[in-house]
Amino acid sequence: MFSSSLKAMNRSMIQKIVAGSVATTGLTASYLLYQDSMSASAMTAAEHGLHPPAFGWSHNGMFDSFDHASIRRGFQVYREVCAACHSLDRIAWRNLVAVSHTTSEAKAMCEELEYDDEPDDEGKPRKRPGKLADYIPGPYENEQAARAANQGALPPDLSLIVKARHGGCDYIFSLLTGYPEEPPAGVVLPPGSNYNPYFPGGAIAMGRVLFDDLVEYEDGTPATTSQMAKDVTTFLNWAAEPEHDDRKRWGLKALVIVSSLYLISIWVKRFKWQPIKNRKIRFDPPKK
Amino acid sequence: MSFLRDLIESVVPAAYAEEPEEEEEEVEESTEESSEEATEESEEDDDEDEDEDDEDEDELVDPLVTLSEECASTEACKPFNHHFHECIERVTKESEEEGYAEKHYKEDCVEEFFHLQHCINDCVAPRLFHKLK
Repeated sequence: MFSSSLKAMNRSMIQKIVAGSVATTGLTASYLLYQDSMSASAMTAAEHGLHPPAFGWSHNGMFDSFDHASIRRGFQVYREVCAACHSLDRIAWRNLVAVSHTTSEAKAMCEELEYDDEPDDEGKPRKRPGKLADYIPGPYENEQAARAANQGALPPDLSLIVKARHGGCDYIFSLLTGYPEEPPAGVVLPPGSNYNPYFPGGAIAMGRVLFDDLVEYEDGTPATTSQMAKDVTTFLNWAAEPEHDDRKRWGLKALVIVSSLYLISIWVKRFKWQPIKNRKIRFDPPKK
Repeated sequence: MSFLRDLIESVVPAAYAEEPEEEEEEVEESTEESSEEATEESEEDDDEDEDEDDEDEDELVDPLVTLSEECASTEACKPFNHHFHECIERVTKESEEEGYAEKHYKEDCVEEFFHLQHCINDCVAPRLFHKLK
């Protein structure tokens, strides 16, 4: 019945109705899209954070190991500056041995600290000087204490921080050195926060901590802000990837061995196949 | 790419022109001369830290700061710097006007700042680590 009534209608009338509805739908959609785009504030550049540039880290290359002098300086920076707020839970004193410090140096450092010992005969808790196997203690007892001391912000544990942030070393270095003298005009920061363009959102609870001459390096390296940031980032990268140097050495060995095995396998294949590939099948028809 | 570079470097001994270090040496020499002239301070410093370089006698200059300043004034970054300062001027002027607090949309200079920083970073990043230890 419906089709018959359609047929009854004028053909040009139908065309007009279709064209009209298409036009209204299209116009409404474009108007709505335009209106939506006017108020689009889903993700601004500030929320992404400034992307750090790629710096020439000495351990960047495929066969490059860490700069261990830098790790040692970086540990000094961590200990004198960062350790006031940040823990380093996954690194024990023994990990430093043969990486940045000698056994006796590491022992001397941990023996300065007191750790919980087994209780005595009456069950009273005791303390003992640290051992190499002890982990580096954090500045706070627990998360609540850390937040209370930092206006509600939790300083993250630094053991894996290089792996835990986009941009890795470049990001950490840029973050440490990237505090501008004042935030760009028009930026409103929540109370208790500082402006750092590299931090997504721009408002970071940590203030600038590295200033020229803050630490005195034992090897006499000038302690500029960028030098300290580079050293501490190298140190943190080592903390996040202690296997780094070994991994690259194994990679090199694997490359050498696997590629020579590959070449040998090609040679063996050709050797084995040579008689088969080179044989000639001849058919001598029987003579009558 | 770095793999290839590593291989090439391991086969062919490469020598790098270490301009920055030479410059530093020159600076050291000149500071030595100046320190000889102005004796007192530097002597004290030398007593304090014997094995430190002469470089950080009085003031330590962060190569990052000098490089950034240098880069901000290059031809490539000038337009960004110009836009950034223009934006600061505009926003500061706007913020002093009446009724700024009730405004629906308040401009900030973050994007201009990011563009400038990107430009500076691209110029600083390849050079900075040659100046650090």
